[in-house]
Amino acid sequence: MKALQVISSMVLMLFGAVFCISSLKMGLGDINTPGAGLFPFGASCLLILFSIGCIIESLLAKKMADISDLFSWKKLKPLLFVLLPLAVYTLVMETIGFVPAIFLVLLFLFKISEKHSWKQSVAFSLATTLTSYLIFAYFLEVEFPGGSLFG
Amino acid sequence: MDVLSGLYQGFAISLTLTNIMYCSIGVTIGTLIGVLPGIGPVATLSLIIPTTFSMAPVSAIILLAGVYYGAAYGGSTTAILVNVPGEVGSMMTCIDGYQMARNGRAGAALGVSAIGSFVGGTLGTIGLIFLAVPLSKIALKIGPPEYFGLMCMGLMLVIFLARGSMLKAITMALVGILLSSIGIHVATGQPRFTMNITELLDGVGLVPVIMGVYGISEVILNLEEGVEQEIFVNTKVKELLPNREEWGRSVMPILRGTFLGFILGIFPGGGVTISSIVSYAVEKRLHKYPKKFGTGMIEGVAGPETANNASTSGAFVPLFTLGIPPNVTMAVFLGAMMIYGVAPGPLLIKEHPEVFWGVVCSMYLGNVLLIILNLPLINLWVKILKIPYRILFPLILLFCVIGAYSLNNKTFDIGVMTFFGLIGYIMRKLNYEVPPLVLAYVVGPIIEQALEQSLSISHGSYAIFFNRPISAIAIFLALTMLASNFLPGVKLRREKIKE
Repeated sequence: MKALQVISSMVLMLFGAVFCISSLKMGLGDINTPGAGLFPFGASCLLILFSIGCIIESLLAKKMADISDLFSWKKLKPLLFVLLPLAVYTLVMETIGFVPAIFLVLLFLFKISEKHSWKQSVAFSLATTLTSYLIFAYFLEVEFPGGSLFG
Repeated sequence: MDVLSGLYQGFAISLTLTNIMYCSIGVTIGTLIGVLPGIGPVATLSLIIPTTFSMAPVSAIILLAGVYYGAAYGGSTTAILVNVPGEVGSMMTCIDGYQMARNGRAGAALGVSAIGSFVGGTLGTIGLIFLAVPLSKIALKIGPPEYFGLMCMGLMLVIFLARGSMLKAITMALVGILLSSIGIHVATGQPRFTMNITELLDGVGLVPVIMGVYGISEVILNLEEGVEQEIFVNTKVKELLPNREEWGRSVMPILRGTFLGFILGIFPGGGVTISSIVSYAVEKRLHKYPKKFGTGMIEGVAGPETANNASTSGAFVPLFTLGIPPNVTMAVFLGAMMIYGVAPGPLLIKEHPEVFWGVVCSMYLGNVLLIILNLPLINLWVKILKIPYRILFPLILLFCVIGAYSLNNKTFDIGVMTFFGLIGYIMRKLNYEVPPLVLAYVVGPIIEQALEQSLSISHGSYAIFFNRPISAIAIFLALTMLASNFLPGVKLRREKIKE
């Protein structure tokens, strides 16, 4: 856990450093008119400072939780099963349109969540897609992309 | 405008057919997410916000408020019947509520928690009126330096009360502030940190960020841990009212819970969780036989359940009068109200009386609706509780996707949500607190504006923050809380209290 904590604090420090340099480039302004970079500059300097504090705190900590199974395959499975379809969905929705894209994502999710047969998964996905389309597109007037593939 | 004419106007607004409908939808959604473990009010509110853009601001806020206090009601059902808090605020109800269910008193536990919630919510709303009106008049005298100080103090209180390391919570708040600075700088019109991405000119959207760090990451963690539990009461819940003896024992905890919850709700960092914990601790300490707590004591249900509802009313006081969100849910409210063009703060009651009075009066209606939803209709929620999570999670994801997309009709926002889902997951795994990030993200632009305005007034002198008593005291308190992290005695006590 210690190593991961230190690494995460270092990532935050780096994040702060990027913002700090960009803020300086933007300009801090003069005494009467604060520049666009002043506030983020202050916040990023503090972030660097407190990230160093976190690193020291992690190094000084006597006992830390075991992380042997923190990011194990068993635990990573739900992460991938949720984030991957969402990422794919983001990429294909404009092309194939809302209805087919969401149907495929739901089918994948219902199918991987065990205990559902193909028939059940298709039925659930189809019903959910059509109901949500009806509610959001017709009643709440959300404009969904029809998909460039279909003109 | 005095209180009576305000109430008259408020009821006239909240009792229109449209607003009754929105209030009913709000409290029903609130109860639903309260009952269902695995989705909280913060993610739900951010899901609903995009669907409210076509509504009048007052109707939209009535709906959102209904979700907020409705969730505090619904959480108790799951806590009592499944021993899992439907909402974090119902955590303490699990202890004695579940034991009462095991002892055959599930109905009484559900009844006392619904009635306690009603009393807490209703009396809390009265408190909100009588505190908000005079406070908003005082708040009118508050200038940018005071705002800067109070916002910093509020943020520091949330950090101070964070569960894990305080240093980590501070870094999260700073990340939130930096994220909020992405986009066009209002004062100079200069784009900041946009990396030439057009979509980022308007900043990183509040809704996708919240849905990511709360909604998506919660779904992943729930799938990992498995939230499906066996319902203790499989048969119909009968006898929903406590008996005479139980009533007698519940009256004082309900009254104490109302007072404690309301007061704790007002202060930053308070909210439903802390008020129910404090109420439980107080009831246990005041009881003749404290050792009996944990075996099914009705006082341990009545107090915390009342307190968490009273705190939802209290939380609106700083938001409506000062524009300061005391907790992360109120931060989402602040963000939503900004989108609707109704900025909360000292001028809210003066400039938008219909919003303040309409929303406050709708809370009375909402509390009545919630009693109906939670007592006669309890068996319906028990049935919903039986829906397996493997069916629910694809639906939650679907709503997240639609919610993120419908905000600006851009798939970019779904990408942002997915990215923050990953970030939220990593944060939770590595014990980084989410609330300071979201709260800082919402109040970041307000703090920046207050800082810039203060510096303009003082011609660049930072002494302005220490020359004015309110800002000086607020900054002193914030620094004291920060310094306390480095005092071993205070640090140890803070950790003990949290345990």
